Amino acid sequence: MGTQRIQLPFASRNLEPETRRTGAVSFVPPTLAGNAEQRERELLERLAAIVESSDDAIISKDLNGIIQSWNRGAERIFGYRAEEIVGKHISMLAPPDRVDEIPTILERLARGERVDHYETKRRTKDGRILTVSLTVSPIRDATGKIIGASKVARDITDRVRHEEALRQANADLQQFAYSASHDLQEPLRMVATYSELLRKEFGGKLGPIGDEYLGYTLQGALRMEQLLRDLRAYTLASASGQEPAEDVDAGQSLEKALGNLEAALQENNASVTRTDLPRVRIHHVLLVQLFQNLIGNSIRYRNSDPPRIHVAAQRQDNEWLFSVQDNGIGIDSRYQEQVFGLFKRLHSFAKYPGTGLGLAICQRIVQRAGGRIWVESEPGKGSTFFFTVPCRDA
Amino acid sequence: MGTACSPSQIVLAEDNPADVGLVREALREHQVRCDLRVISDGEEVVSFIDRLDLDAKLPCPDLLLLDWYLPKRDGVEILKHLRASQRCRQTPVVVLTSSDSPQDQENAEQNAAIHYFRKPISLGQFMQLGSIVKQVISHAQAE
Repeated sequence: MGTQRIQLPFASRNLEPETRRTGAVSFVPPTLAGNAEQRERELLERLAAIVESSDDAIISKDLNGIIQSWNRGAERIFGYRAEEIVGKHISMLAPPDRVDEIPTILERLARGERVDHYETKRRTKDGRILTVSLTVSPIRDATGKIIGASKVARDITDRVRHEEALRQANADLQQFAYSASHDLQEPLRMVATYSELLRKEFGGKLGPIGDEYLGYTLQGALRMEQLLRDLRAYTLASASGQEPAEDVDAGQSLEKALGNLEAALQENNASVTRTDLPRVRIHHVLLVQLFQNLIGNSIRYRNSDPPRIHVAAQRQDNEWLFSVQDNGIGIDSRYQEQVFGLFKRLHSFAKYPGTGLGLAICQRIVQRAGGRIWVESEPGKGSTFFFTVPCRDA
Repeated sequence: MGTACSPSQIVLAEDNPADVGLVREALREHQVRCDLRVISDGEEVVSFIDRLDLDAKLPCPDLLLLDWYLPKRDGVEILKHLRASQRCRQTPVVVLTSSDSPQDQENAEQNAAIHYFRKPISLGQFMQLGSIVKQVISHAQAE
């Protein structure tokens, strides 16, 4: 092993208890015989071997930024051999637009601060620009004085590129789903309006079977329309668009949702009560959709009593806890998680029409705002849907 | 301008024959007396507007029913072109669209579209277009 190539930047007696505490390696095997000096040398060799075999670049430098040691990982990542670079200034590794950050890092180290997982760019010997994650910590001598720094650089170029590709693929997929669900709507509108027109002009003249078939065509088209609309709402709720810049009044969002549900509320003789609602950081349209879907469900899954729905919010530590409570048919505990899944339905379409996307949309909206959603319910008595929205001031 | 005894001149800019059929049905259902001229290409609507400007003998239409996404020229271009016309810039316009983009609606309203009609999936709702057209025409005649 190349122990000679490495100048260990630490005083060994400081290191032993420190590294022991991490529990990663046992440095003093009980079988190891010999005097303290020999033990110390073995320990140093072992440490050097660990440093040397790391995939990450492990570099030490003094407080002026002069490189003191350079492992094989550093050689592999940056292309310089230890002989070429030990004694040179660390700024050799920074591309021109990042040179300015070196003095700042050195100042922070001199104050005894660490730099953790700092993502930046570094340049290799042959001029390639890498994305690296840096962790830099001060090194102290036996008296506690800061004498330099150890720096671990991980090459994350590939990871960052893959993440970017994944982000792009997701965005494309969302765009595709949104466009497809929009464009499919047009031919569907033709099927629906023209089967209605057919019924208007020729209904009763086709015979009972003809009328029945026409009815199925129309029903199918309307159901498909609902599905596409919900699919669009779902992709919209997932889209990685701009995050809201300011808080919205949840009370106003609820009023808007109730306005949209007015016909269904009246038809079912439903009543909605509420506490004061806070201002929260979430898109207004998405919050309207969230209330609309939850209250819409409370109306749809009603029992024989008129729906009584209560919307409440209370502050809990660093988040707002919202609840939408109803006196409907409730959900069996076995299905309380399942209801949030895509296209998950617990009832036949004939009995309770729906697309199975409503709660999946709700979950997307809440997760996007950094919150959680769940349901507590007793079959026959009613359900309470809870969701949280983190507070910005926390 | 159309009067009570002569049919209204309505231009329908629409490239989908099925939608043309629905518009005709809506006008019939609401007994709108009109001559309907159908233009199915954005470029042709623009040159139609240009011809109106060149020939003072041609009457400006009483109403333009404008599909927002036509081949070659889209709705906002056509609407701007009409609003810049010498003779016919006051022509009332009803936009027909399947787009749910708020930006489209804003563009239509900024260019003085009287009504923004989202093509509905229900026949009954589509037939409401006939009543909208009737109102727009009688309002224009009253002025």
